[in-house]
Amino acid sequence: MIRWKGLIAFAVIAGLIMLFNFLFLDHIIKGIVEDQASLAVGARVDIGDLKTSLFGLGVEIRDLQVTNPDQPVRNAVQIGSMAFDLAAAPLLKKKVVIERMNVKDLAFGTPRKESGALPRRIQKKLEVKGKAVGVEAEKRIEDCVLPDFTKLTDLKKRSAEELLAGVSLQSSAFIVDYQKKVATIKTTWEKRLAALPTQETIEKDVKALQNLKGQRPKDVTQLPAYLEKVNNLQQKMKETTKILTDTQKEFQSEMGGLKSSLKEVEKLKDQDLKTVMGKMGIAVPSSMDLLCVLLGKDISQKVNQGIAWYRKLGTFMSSGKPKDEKQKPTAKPRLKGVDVQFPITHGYPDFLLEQADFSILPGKENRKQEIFAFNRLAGQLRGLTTQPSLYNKPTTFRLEGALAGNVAKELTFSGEIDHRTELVNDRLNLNIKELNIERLGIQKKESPLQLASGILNINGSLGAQKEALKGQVTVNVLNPKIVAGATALILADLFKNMGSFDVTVTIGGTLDQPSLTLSSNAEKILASGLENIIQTQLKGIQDDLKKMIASRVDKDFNAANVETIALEKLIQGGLSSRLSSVSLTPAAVPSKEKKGILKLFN
Amino acid sequence: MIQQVISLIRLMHSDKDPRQIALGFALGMIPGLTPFTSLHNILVLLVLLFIRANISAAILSWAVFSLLAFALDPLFHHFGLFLLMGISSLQGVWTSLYNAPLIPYTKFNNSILMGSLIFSLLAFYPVYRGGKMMVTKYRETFMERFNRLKIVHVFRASHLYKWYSRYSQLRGG
Repeated sequence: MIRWKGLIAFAVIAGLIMLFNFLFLDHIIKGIVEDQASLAVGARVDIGDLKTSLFGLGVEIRDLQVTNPDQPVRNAVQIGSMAFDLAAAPLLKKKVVIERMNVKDLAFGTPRKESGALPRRIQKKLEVKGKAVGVEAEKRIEDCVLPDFTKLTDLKKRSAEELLAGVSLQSSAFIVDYQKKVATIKTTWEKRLAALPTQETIEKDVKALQNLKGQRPKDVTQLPAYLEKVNNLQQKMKETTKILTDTQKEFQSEMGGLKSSLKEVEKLKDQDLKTVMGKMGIAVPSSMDLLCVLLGKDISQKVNQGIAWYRKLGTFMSSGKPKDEKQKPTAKPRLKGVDVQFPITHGYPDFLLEQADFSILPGKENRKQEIFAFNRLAGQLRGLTTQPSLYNKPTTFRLEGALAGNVAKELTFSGEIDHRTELVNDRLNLNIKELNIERLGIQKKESPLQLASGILNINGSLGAQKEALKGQVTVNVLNPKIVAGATALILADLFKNMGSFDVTVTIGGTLDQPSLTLSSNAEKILASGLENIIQTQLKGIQDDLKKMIASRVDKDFNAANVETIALEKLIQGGLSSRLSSVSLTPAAVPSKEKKGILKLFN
Repeated sequence: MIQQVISLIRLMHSDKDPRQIALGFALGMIPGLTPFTSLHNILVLLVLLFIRANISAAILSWAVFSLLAFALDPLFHHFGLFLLMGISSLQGVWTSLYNAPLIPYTKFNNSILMGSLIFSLLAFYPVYRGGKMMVTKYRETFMERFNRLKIVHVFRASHLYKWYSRYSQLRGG
């Protein structure tokens, strides 16, 4: 039944596969590692050379470059070489266990020869995975800017009239509206005045009543008719008096409101001044804005990058479940099913790096600007695993060294990442002693304020418990030399004799929404100096603008005042003269004292 | 593929054992229904090469069942998930296999692979039996009728057939 030809064919196929692997396996593994690492990091990962030895299960990687996702022309990390052996027994169980790894030549911020933008196919996979590549921190520090102070100098050259050209003033608009209102009120009240009893009518009625006073009938039979006539006339006069008094009160109240609204003009003039200054881009910054632009922005960007990398580590080292608990199936795209994860009852986690030793190749120091490369490096990383609960030890690391080119005397980066239980408890510490800004050579051409030289001592710590973040980064700046850019030249004097100072970024919030706040011991000193500069610079412009606004508004304001007085005089005069005519009405008071005789008038 | 179909027709018309054709067809069904790049398919290939099963039938079967698998994958997924997670008495077995050497490389914990592999193993014997019966039946009843068909005569007289026959003879077929 055995087909010998088939057996030979199988042997040939197997031989060909082995030959293919022998010739191309390294290249295939290199491609797979690059793709998988790029997917995990969310940034392009390149490997210069990868060699495997199948019998010793050894791997050697040279020139590993991990692109900075925020700056594709630079590497976040570059490793000269790393070599390790895979443990054979766990590999049979599909577990990658590296007992010892040697990492040599570690550098940060190295420039790339070609762009590190992710290839389209990886980008698509990342979109499918829906992972957040970066962290958006609180906007305040990230977005701090300074106004363009050169505008002040330009403004000083221009007249206030020129600056106000084409600007519509609220105070002017208010007075125009006010004048329209006065005209409307005048028309309304003129109509109302016309509808009231006229002066002539009132005087006629008063006269008629006075005449009646002397026409008292002697015949008693005519008395009731006489009295009725007197009463009617008196009633009419009472009603007229009431109407006139009520109308006068109403008018006085309306005029009171109108007059008090005119007081708003002064407030609106101040408002106009602020608006005009604001429109000209003169938003006065605070001293913290200055410190933010100088250092805070950079520190918070670095903190954000650190948090973003920490988040990536979190997705790799998911917080643990108990050893015998089943994990949720990993969903795969349609037609690929799902992978059910069964408990690992004994043995190793799926991935484990037991120990990595860091060092540098001796005699190698070719540092360019803006690169954090080491000339002395020693350190270890222990227990990096995808299943910390199974490994049951926290991941710890400590790197100590000095930066090449005397950029920093000492750099220590250490931490403990404990994801053994769901109660994540991680702590990262970074200490950099005597970081020389001038030697580092960071130049921010676009920044209005630059720390041209100075020695920085940086102390940073970040703690994470579950999702909550807590930490701070303190930068102690010694002997600072601060250069003001073209847009902030007026601030040059402010920093001329600036002594040592601290800037602290406090980290709070959660992993998804970190919040950063900035504080500094230089805040008060800078605040008073800045106030003086701004006051000196703005005072002349402010006064000129104030005068110009007043000259535009005051003419109309006076006219409006005159119109108001005229209206008051007209209406109030009309009402007062009618009321004084009414007041001449003789009062009729029936007398109870003299029986039989009716006293009608006083 | 055309060559394989013609080979199969020739095979059906030859005096070769129907069991070989049926076995090839049944074995071809396994890589057809299950994900192709799985470790167990190497075993299927080994069996195909080592025992006297018909390779043409296996290739045709693989092609037919691969098309069928596209439609059946959702069912395989549910079936596999039920086997992996739904039966509590099997959890111990799966866990042991998951922790055993080499077995994790078979990807047995994938729902579609588990569903389709178990389905194809269950269907193996019925497919083999059905195939053998069909070949026998074909030879007994339809082969004569088929040979008498005008279109077959026309085809056999055609240049294409003559060319193919000459090519097959040169290959030693």
